Amino acid sequence: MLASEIIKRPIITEKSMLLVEEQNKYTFSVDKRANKVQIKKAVEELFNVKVVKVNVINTTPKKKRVGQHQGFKPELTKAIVTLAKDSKIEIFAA
Amino acid sequence: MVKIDKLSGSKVRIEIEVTKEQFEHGLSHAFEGIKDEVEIKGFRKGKVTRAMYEQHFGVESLYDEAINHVIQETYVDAVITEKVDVVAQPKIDLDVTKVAKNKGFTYTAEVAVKPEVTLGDYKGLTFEKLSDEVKEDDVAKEIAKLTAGNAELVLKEEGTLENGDTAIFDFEGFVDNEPFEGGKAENYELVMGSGQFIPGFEDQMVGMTLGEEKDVNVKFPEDYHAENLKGKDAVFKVKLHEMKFQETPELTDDFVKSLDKEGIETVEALKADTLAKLQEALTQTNKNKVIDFAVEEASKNATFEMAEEMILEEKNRLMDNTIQQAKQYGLDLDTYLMYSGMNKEQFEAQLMLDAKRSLSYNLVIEAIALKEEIKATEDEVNAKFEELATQYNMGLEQIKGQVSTEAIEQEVVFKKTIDFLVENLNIQ
Repeated sequence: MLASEIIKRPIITEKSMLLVEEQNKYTFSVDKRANKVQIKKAVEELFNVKVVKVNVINTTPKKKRVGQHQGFKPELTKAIVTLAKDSKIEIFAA
Repeated sequence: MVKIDKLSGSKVRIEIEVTKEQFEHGLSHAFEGIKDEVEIKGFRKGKVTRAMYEQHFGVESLYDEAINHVIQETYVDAVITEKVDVVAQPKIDLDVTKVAKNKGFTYTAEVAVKPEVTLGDYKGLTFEKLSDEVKEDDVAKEIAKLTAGNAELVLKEEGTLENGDTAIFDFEGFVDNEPFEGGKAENYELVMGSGQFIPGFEDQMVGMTLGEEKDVNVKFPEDYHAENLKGKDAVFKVKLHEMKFQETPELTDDFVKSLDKEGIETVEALKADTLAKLQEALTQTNKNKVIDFAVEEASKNATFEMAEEMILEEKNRLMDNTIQQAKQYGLDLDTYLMYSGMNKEQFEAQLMLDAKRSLSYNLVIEAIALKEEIKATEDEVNAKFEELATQYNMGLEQIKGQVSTEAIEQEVVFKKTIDFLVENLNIQ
């Protein structure tokens, strides 16, 4: 898999920003099929940084009802990537 | 960094350099101000970080507020530390395109300052002594007013109706031999010569005797309010029932007693009292005239240049006062002006003059006080406070809380300076 296929987009929320600030951890939405090693390599390749650790969370789709229609929240995999102390990713400018 | 250049016309240009840090402070102040209203997905309202905000909306969106804040702070600071006597709002000049994050900027403020006063002659000015003698005539006039004010209407049994008398009569009016609406009344009461009726009507009634019937021929004026009567000839049949005349009471001790004034029971006493009152009023007017003269001459002889802005500022203050006053009578400015018979331009011009005069008086008095080293002593200030306390029926401490000592000092100095000016007049 290509690096750009594995890393879909950054997840930018209050919580993720807090992680960046306090622990140098960056959160991404990643492809379900990728494993931790692939994610690590992809991040290092794309952003030119040193990755220390990768944690992955698989979210379970939740039922969401919109009016009459029964639907689901998307199923997605989040990867929390811990970077080495001197590394930074600019798109989370903080 | 602050640089001050003097300009002509009692103005200064203050050049102020804003440092990077000061501007950054302004930016964060601006962000704090809007933070609670910003919504970005993924963040609760009010929890957005400054960096996220700048990414989304651009740091430029903070500039306006930040610049205002910084200018306000640095300007006030500059004015206080450099001791500039500003008297109006400054005109700020700033090239916004040069403002950038992480950089300082420089702006200029042009502002009117208190002019320097060069005093002319203010001591030994010649003033022609005003007569402070009350004439016998004036007393008589005053007493005549009093008796006329107490006149009573007395029934007139005989003779003819005269100007100034009150007539009670019936009338019915005809135009082209037809009665018209509103042209008829019974036992109508009218003072001859009051001009209430159409011209000619009252004149023709004068000379009538009791019970007499008469046809009064008049012509309605062209600008009469009723359309159908304008310019028409009319005949009024009039019947006079009663005549009354104004009887002015004779000036006797009894009349004086009926006035019920304390301690005054005879004509002589009334005359003396009136004289004393007139004397007092005249002395007061003369005193004010002397003060006006002294201050006006002193300010005429002094040279100084007031900035237009300073006068405008004072004018606006006076305008606000007027609006407040009008409000107390429940009027807005336009209605108030209508009553006082001025249009807006005249009113503003008048205010400009007033503002200019009161400002120049103040400046000159201040300058004289400074030169003559007239100062308020502690005792005088305290005395003034006590006076205010009794006047407004408040405790001394309460007054002191509301009025600053500086203001009182200034007032005392003003009064002393005016006294000084008056003392140094050469009254002839």
